[in-house]
Amino acid sequence: MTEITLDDVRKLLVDNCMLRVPPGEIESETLLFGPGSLGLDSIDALQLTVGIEKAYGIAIADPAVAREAFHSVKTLQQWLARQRNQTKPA
Amino acid sequence: MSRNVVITGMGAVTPLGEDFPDSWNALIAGRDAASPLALFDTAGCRCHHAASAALPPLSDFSAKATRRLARASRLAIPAAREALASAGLLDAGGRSTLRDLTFSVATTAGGMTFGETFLRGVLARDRAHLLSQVSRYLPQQQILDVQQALGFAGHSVIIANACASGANAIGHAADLISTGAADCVLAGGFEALTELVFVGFDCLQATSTDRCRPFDLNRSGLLLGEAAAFLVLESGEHAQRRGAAPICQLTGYGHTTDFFHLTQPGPDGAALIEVMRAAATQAGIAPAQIGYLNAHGTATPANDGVEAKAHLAFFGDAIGSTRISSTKAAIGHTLGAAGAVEALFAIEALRTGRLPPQLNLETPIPEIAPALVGGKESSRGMEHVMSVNLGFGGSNAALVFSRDSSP
Amino acid sequence: MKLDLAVIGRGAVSPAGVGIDALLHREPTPVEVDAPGEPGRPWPVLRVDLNDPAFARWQREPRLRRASSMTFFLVEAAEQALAGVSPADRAETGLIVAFSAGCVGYSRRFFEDIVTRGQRSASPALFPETVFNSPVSHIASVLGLNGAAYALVGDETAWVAALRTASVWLRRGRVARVLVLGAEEFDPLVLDAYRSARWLRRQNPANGFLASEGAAGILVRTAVPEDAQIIATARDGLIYRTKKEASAAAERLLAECDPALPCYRSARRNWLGALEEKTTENRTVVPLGNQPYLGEAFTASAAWHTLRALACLDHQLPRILLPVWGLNHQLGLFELETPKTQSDP
Repeated sequence: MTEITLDDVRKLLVDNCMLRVPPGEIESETLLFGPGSLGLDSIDALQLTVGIEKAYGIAIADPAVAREAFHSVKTLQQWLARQRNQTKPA
Repeated sequence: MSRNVVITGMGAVTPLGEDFPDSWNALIAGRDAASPLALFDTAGCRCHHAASAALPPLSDFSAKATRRLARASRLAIPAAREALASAGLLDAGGRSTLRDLTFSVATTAGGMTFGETFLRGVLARDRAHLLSQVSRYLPQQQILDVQQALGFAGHSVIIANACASGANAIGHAADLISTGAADCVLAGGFEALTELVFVGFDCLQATSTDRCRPFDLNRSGLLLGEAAAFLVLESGEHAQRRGAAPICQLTGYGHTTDFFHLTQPGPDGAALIEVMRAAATQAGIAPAQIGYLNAHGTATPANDGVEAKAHLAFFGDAIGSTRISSTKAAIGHTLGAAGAVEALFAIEALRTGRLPPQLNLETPIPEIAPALVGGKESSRGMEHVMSVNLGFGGSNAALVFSRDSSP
Repeated sequence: MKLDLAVIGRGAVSPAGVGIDALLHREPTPVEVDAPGEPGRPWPVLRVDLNDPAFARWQREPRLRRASSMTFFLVEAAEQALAGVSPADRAETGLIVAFSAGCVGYSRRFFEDIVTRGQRSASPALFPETVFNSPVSHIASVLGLNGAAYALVGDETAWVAALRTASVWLRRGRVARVLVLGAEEFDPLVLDAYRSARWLRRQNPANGFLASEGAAGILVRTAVPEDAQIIATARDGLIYRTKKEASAAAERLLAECDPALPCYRSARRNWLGALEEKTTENRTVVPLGNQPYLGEAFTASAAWHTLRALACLDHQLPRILLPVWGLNHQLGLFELETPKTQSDP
């Protein structure tokens, strides 16, 4: 199984969304959107889609999939790990 | 201190025509200019079409001089020349009869195509022609191109308030005249299609892969376009002194900033409602007196929903009697030129009583469905028309044009 | 054109540091930067230190999360100029910002991604921030200004257009006061641009400028007789394409002004410097004391020079001529006055 670490996701978020918080402060349970979250917006969602394709070669065509994966840091980590395993050559 | 401001000349190059009359006739006939984009490669984009303009020939430029012009200047020079000619301000040699002429201009990207070529050259370490690319990409170079082609100088101002800029440039011209800072102003905007901007809208998923359907429930995004459009504005006395017949008056101008988000209007449309009220108040009219509204109507899901709400709030019960359309379905979103070319369309509707139809409409947003213009509609006896624009950064602007009532 | 603008607030961010005092007195230290088209042969450049503690509060603003460096220069200069202005008064304050290259850093990064990695790699986060008026929108929003906001573009003379526009807004009654700013940000790509324009010189560096960045601004309202410092008049629109046309424009510009007026020289080390010297040689030159050289940052430079010229106004120099040497479109000038001092016995 290909490991996607919490640090990988933190870096993905900080780099793409230009977060001005130290990556270490981003917890696994932190939400990406809405009150008490990282405060991301629709542009960040689009940017993450581009960033994920750049970093992992995984394209997200379905907005519903993005909505589910982009719920929290943890859901994003799990979703990335799943996608990576599915696309890995046998 | 407030002097009345009249419009005495108009000119445009749009995807529908090489001059304003051709553009207007095609618009009224219900043509749209969307076509596959051939100016640059779009292989990596979602969208592959746009409304590009045919460049009018510049008979007084050599082939070499023409090659040195940015595409933006190829659009701007003939549009500005047509505006001066229609105002009776062009001499037999094609030069402005006013040597000192204030110029109020809008653009968002200037001569960006040259900037793109410059960056490609730097990245490829190809140093040939770098100077000629970089020296001609900034917007003031297109201003200089127009000034020198038409033989005038004087105060100029370049407004870059994103997609509202064209309306700002015209409104600012009116401010200059009404406060006595200028007697006569050439005002408008220009925008040429460029890869940087096209890919920018495409990566924001703001462009449609389908047709551009303003105010339709199934709208899916905008169609990018390119154009240049200019007006001659002058004080009533200045026009009268030189015997120029006013086409109409500019009576209202409002501009505000919506602080909600850099690329999205606030969901309640408050800033847009405020800007329309400000323009109507300055014109001294009630919303019900506005016969036709040229709406911004980009056909993006976010814009048109908010805009429909704002129009409903502004017009109230009069929404059933006013007529509204977005001409972006026909010529595309021309960004810095949009406010200018759409102002010309609103003025021509006022002058002729013919109304630009709302193209590509199948399932209209119910709230403003009764106001959207159908095919071959006309409305005689309109006294006032309005044009509104919204832009990135929350820039909003509205203009009111009124039938000329001066003696 | 008569402007009659009283200067009631001022702010500056420059390579010399944050604030007016640094602008007037501190010597900035150049850093060496490679031009992307000519690696290994760096140029001296003057940069703003974004690690200055003054920027920390702005970096925590959610609205400015994706903003370019220029936005930070602008918001800090704007806040200095607005010091002491209440929230209610800010809500009646208009905003005009004059730009030359705009957000050149993000524009370069955005297009470089497209060229080197393909259109599918284009960044949705960067694109909206490349638009000229994005910083204007950000600072109006963060500082609670009233929403009358223009982004103007041009060479140094866009600063003249900005002050003329402020005067028109005030006459029109659109706002009670106007915050007028100029800004420029550095990106290594501009070195290739300036180099190809021969604006930078390895041989004889005194004939080439240092690329620079920053922002500055003034808060203005319609002048009343008691005001200490006013921008009395502005002139612009003297356009040129060639050196010969620039020379003729400069002669005409200065010939229209009272020959007794002392002149502030601002074109040091740029390509119009020699022309400035020649056309002002018969005038008294405003002594600049030890004001250090800040490099060339277009509309930001024009704003810096205006602040510095205002600082020179006193009872011995009650009126100053401030030419604005636009580097690639036109020439303009201001007349600055201290009417209060003038009327003193």
